[in-house]
Amino acid sequence: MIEFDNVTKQYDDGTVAIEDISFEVEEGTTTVLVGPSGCGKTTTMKLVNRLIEPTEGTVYFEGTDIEQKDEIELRRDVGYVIQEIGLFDHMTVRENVATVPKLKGWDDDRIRERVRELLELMDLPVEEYGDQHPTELSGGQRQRVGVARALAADPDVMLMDEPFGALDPITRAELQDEFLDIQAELDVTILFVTHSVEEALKMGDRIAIFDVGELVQYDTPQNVLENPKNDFVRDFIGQDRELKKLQVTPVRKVMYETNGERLPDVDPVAPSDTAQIALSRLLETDAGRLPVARDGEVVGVVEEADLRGTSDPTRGSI
Amino acid sequence: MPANAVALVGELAAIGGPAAIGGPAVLGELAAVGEPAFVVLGMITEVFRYFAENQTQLLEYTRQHAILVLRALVVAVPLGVTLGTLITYNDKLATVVLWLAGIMMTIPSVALFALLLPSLGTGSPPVVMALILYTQLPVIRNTYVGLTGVDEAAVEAGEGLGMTKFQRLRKIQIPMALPVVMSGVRNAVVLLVGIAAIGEIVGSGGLGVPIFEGYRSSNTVEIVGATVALALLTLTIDYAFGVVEQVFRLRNGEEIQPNLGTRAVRGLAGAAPSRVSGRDDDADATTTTTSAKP
Amino acid sequence: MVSAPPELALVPLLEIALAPLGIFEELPGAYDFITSNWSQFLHHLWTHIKLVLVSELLAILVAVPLGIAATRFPRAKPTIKGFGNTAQTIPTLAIIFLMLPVTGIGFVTAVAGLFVYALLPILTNTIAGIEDVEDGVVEAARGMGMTDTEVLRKIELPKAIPVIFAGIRTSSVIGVGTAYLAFFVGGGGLGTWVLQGIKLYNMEMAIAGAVPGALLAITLDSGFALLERYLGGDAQQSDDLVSA
Ligand SMILES: Nc1ncnc2c1ncn2[C@@H]1O[C@H](COP(=O)(O)OP(=O)(O)OP(=O)(O)O)[C@@H](O)[C@H]1O
Ligand SMILES: [Mg+2]
Repeated sequence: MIEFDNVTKQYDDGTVAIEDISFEVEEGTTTVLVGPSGCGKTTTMKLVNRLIEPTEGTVYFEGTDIEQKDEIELRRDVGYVIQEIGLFDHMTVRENVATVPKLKGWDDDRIRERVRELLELMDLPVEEYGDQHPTELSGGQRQRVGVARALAADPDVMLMDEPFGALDPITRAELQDEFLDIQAELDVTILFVTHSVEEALKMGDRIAIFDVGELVQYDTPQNVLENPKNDFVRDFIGQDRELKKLQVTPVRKVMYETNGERLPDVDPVAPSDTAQIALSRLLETDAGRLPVARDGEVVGVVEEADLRGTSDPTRGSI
Repeated sequence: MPANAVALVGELAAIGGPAAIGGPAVLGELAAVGEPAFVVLGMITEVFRYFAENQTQLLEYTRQHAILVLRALVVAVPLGVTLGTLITYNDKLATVVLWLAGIMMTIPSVALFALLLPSLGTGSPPVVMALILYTQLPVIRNTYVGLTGVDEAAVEAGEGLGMTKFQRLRKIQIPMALPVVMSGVRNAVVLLVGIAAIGEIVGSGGLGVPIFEGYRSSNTVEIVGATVALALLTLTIDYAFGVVEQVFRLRNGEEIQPNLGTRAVRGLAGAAPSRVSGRDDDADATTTTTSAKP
Repeated sequence: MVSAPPELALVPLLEIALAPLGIFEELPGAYDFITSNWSQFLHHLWTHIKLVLVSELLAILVAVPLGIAATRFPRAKPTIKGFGNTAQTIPTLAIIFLMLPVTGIGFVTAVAGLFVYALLPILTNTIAGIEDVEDGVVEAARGMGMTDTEVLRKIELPKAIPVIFAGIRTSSVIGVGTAYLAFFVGGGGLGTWVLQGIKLYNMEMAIAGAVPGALLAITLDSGFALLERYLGGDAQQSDDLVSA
């Protein structure tokens, strides 16, 4: 859907923000750009909606060189959540969200309906928040409005630059979960920027790890964890690589089917839960094994040894 | 405030009670009273009598004065806002224009009136022209600062969401800058009212007339009376422009405590009730109009 | 906006816009006037400068301590600020005229009038400068064990000095303008030529008095700006030079 082909960006002051970067974002997936501050994540993202023009190389959008596209049209079709949120404080929440639909000339009823729907989705009911100004909202609420504004005109592609940055860990985790749910409904291609590995592993189908100005590894979360390409990636992931692996591995991958044996009488986990949750439950209950249930029906068992096995590359997935 | 002004002027006059005896006998009768308190009281009484006796004339001077200022503003504000907007596109131009407007501002008004005299003659033209020139710095500067000071993230978000340059100017920068521009106009207006009084040296009319008349006829009461009228005019205009500024700020969702005038205007306009809940005790003028707020 | 007053239609805009350029025709005449009345010119110019200088020094001596006092005694602050704001609405002209019965005709009256008007910018800026020092900084200084006087002397005043200085700059530039009005109370200065010139419709004389004063104000302002930059403040032109 979006393809970077040997792209280099050098700013007017001589800073080379990214150098010779190539990767492709597949339709319907979430690709996360992650790396330390100043490594060129925002620069990469702004190349997509042409807020920045590449110095060398080409960016393709659905196979077309984006330079061939009208930049204003392009931007209206691509949702953009900017790093600094950038809400229009002089407008109400409702007007903020309605920005792009209005620019696109939707009729009033459709805009009103869409704004209502989105604010509902973001847990900011329009009756209560619609007429407030962004200055009256909390940080988390502002970020939600930023996301709603970007989603407003049903974009096929969303660019999200640290949309949940500057939030406390709890609110952040909540927003991440909510967004994962929303995303499942929306079917939209997402390019997501963060400098948190945890967030990258949680949100991404694919992860692009940046060192200063260069793309070091572009892979699935599992592969990044299992086969870090070099010391930089290994350091970046951190000492707790095994724990992080538990985070990105669903129980489904490590359970085995029951053969009618008796299972300990503890709360079951779901196949979609993470291995981390299963391990935590095991530590709490001291049971050694856990039932796995889908819709109340036991479908399998997960054992402590299997969870450990996630660290064993030879077992990979069952 | 106006009462203060009267008292203050009275006090100024009173300081010299005894000393004034050697000077021109303007304050003669008053100073003879001796006690400063009596002088102040006497002065206040005299000024009120002057108001009562010269009502129509004073109103006419006030009207002339306000028209001088308004004529200047009608040209000066659009001019200043346009210039202030243009210079946001070019830093060098901005430096030069702001520098020139600053220089304008330092030229003494008496000198400027004199400089405009050969080409514009006497009467109101040189004064209106001078007022226009003096308005430029506050208006250009505030427009420039207002437009460039707009939250950069908001402007960039606008760009990223697909607004054209003109749409960003119209929908983000101008609305956000308006209150700042307005406060520049407000500063300018207070200045203009005072300068226009000096305009009478080239025969502009307005409240300068009774002030000079009082000077020529050594009539302190007339000077004080005209000064009070001038102060009232300044305060009124300042308040009116303050209301406009506040309305812009409230519309932008700023958290301010609106004054009574602002609330009344918003109430009359049927605008959304102010989110800053007014205290109950001073809501009398607006209770009926802001009742929409639960 | 209020509907334009009918008089506006009578004003031929373009002609007016180009009008200021007309003074260039008058400059040679004014120059001749100055050279042929050289000693008189020097006398007026020097008086003008003296008026500004004396009133300005007095104003600094009074306004700075008064401003500091306003920040030290919260109860007095509203009164001092209120006085400042009220004084601003009284035109210079009125202040000078009202000094007349008090101090009589002459230099002293003119200085007294100028002094009253010069106080204000310095007073306002002294208060603003001291109050603008961040609370955190003051708190930190207190935490280190500084007394109130030490906080004032070592933290607040040094930080406020550029702002106070800006007030002095504004005040003096205004002073150059106000000093023109000294003529009305027999204080002399460049106003003598300008106001007599206007009265007699002697343009050469009027402009011979106007141009040097304008240049004086501009020079003073630029000089102060340079000095401010040298002292490390951000030399910004003030909005309220009032140019009385
Ligand atoms: N407009 C600009 N002009 C010059 N240099 C720039 C500009 N924008 C960014 N840079 C530089 O380019 C490099 C990459 O910046 P970029 O904003 O893409 O980093 P980032 O990965 O998004 O960082 P962060 O996590 O802090 O947001 C940095 O060194 C930055 O200083
Ligand atoms: Mg960034």
